[in-house]
Amino acid sequence: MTYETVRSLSAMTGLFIFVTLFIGVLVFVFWPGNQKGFDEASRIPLDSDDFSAGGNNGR
Amino acid sequence: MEVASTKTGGAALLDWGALGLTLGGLALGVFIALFSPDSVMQFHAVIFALFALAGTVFLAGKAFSSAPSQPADFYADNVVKAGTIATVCWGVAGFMLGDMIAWQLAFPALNFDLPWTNFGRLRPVHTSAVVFAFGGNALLATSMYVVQRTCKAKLFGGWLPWFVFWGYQLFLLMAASGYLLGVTQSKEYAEPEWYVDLWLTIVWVAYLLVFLGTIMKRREPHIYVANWFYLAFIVTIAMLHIVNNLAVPVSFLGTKSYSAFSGVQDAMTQWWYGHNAVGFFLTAGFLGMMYYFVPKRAERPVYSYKLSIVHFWSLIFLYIWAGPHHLHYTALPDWAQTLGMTFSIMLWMPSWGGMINGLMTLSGAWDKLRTDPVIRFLVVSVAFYGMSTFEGPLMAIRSVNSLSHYTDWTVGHVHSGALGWVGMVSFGAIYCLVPWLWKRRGLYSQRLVEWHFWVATIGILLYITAMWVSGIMQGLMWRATDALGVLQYSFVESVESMHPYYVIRATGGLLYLTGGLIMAYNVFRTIRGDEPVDVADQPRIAAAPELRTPQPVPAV
Amino acid sequence: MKLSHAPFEKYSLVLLVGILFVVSIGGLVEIAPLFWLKSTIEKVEGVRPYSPLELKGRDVYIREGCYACHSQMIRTLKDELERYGHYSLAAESMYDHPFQWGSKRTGPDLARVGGKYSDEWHVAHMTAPRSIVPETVMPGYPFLGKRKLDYDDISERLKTLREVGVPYTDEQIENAKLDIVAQTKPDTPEASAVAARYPKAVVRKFDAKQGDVTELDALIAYLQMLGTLVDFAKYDASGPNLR
Repeated sequence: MTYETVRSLSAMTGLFIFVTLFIGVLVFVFWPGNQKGFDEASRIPLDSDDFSAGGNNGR
Repeated sequence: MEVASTKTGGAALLDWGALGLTLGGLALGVFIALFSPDSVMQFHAVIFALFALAGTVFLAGKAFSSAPSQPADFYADNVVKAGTIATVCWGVAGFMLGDMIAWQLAFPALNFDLPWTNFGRLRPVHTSAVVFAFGGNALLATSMYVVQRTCKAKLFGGWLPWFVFWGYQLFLLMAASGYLLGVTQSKEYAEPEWYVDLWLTIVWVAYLLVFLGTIMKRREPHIYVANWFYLAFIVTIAMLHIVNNLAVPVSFLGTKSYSAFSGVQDAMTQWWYGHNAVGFFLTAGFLGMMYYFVPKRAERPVYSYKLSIVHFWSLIFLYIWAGPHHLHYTALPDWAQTLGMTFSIMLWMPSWGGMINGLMTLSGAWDKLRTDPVIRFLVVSVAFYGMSTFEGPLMAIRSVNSLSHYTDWTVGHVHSGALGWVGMVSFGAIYCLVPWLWKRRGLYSQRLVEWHFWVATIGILLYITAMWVSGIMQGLMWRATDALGVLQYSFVESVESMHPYYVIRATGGLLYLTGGLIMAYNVFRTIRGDEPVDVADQPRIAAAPELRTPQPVPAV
Repeated sequence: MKLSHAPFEKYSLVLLVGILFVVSIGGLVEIAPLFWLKSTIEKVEGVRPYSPLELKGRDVYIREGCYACHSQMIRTLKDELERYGHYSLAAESMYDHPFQWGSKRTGPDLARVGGKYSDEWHVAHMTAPRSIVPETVMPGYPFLGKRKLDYDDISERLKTLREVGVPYTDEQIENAKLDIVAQTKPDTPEASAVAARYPKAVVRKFDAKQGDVTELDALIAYLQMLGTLVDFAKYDASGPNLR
């Protein structure tokens, strides 16, 4: 295996896996059905710490 | 009522098993202390045995105790409290060591010609104290706090979090005292010898169990994104630590080992580790902190949850490739250098995605920057994160690196990330946590937080500007040639020119240390329970949850 | 239809495996080939394992943290070739467990410091750096010359290095203890044996003092051999080497 093959192979592998992964993440992020879950999740830090006092603050 | 009888059989068995393990640890420590020919090994075995003894006493007390059990708190916060205090103490120690060695570079007589006070041995004590002791304890404390709140579940594992905490302090003590006594592997940021590495591996697996176990028993359908970052930090550090520290000890009773790798492969492995200690310890872990404390303190959800997901996967994928940019123009094959450079430049994007997400969380509430110095710490840390992650890809470009590598520019870059990002986001988190954990109405003094902020910021600016100037000057002096192509400066002329900048840098460090001391004082007064002097000026969120005034109803 | 993101969000173990998969790719692609690509390390003559005294010197170098301020890697840049000599080859550090390339030059590169200064210079410089170079910021190491070298476990050290791939012979391991002393006793038959086992090894009492071998002897023996093993008059950079 020559230097050039290794060089391009490793670069291509990296590129391919990254692009695939990136597109996958984008599809997942912009899939319309997921919006609600994201909204819920993003509220988690704001309403959790009264839980110990027995309250469930708005949930 | 006997407590043991109220326990389930499994839990009791686990306690007894643990008691067996601590007794085993005690025996091992005593054995090595008695039979090792290596005095440092004996010393470490004694420390180890003392920790094991304390563990044995604690567990035995639990197993034989007949006292009625206290009504359990919903969250396990005592270990978080311990972690917070440890963070403050180690932080002050680490900053002090850093400033000491900064003065040594300006005035070499301060090395005192002694083995345990010379720069070469103190430097890893400084780096480990700030990265692993200050940063590590900040991550332990905040991750254990955040994962409980965002999962609405108590920490998994009973006494296991305490094992993680004390086991980690034991690791730090053995590592730092080892360096002073000349025990080091010489791999940067991975200096501890084989037996200390093994111990950290055990502690780290326990940490992963505690964290993952808590996520598994959560009462919340989602896993909040901060936990993704913390989890990536824990898992990846485990992988990096184990691979980079593969070594064969010369003797099982001695400290010395030789790395399994050599030369070019070792260099690549080390910087794969080294850069990702930055990427996963000092970045992913602290991003977890950012994704909880910025929204929490600003009392608004993160700017874009979608962006945080893209940020997460891109960041962890790209970071792991960036290591070879530490080895440009070296004997590392060019193909690896090119990969490292390319991925480092790409890394700019997710980094700035994260920065934008952190900063924009404040959008619509920018006035909090003026009124709440704790928010200011958090937000300015994110700004420093943005600055360092712009500078980093720039320095990873081969031609820029040919100038910057081996110079103080790199040192300045690291410190804009360490002092600016890691330090300030941790200070912000500590200032949030202390009144929340100790159930106070606010910090002892918000004015002191203001002082800390400005003293630290000026310190950082002095530090990084001095290092920019000295670093670029060094690089230029090393490569300067006259008309005949002959080198213009001897090496020592470049050393001599650094002196004023080393003085400025050490002064900046002194300011940063002063800030740390102000924080320690403020935290101490708050924990002691002194009445806050300016509680009216502090935002409602500064108080512990049960002492907060209700959320003001937004005007319609 | 709802594309469920539940696997990652809800199931922590899936998240864990996902993270592990994503973070392992980079390391695999960048590190693994370095072990099997023949072109990574050049074929050169002259590189040999360290003599026992040099190895002990190297262990002192590591113990004192010299790597924090000195690199041992001359980059392929014009000014570095001018200042330090031929650029460093991967082959030159192939027996370095661990590598000492360094990351910072508070002091100069040491990859080819061997033979550049006299032993007397090193002794004075180590003992009191500013007596030789007034502007330097290097710490003094006066204690090295006063400490007797402890080499009881030197054979074990060589054996350990053989386990991780350094080709020490049985003969070298057997004679390791004797070789330490012999390398400081020029013009003796034992010294010639050291030179035969470790070609180009410098045989001298480095600190010029009678008596026991000191840590300073070992450190200077190490420094004086750095970068001297490969004969660059014979090295063909355009040969089968791919850099």
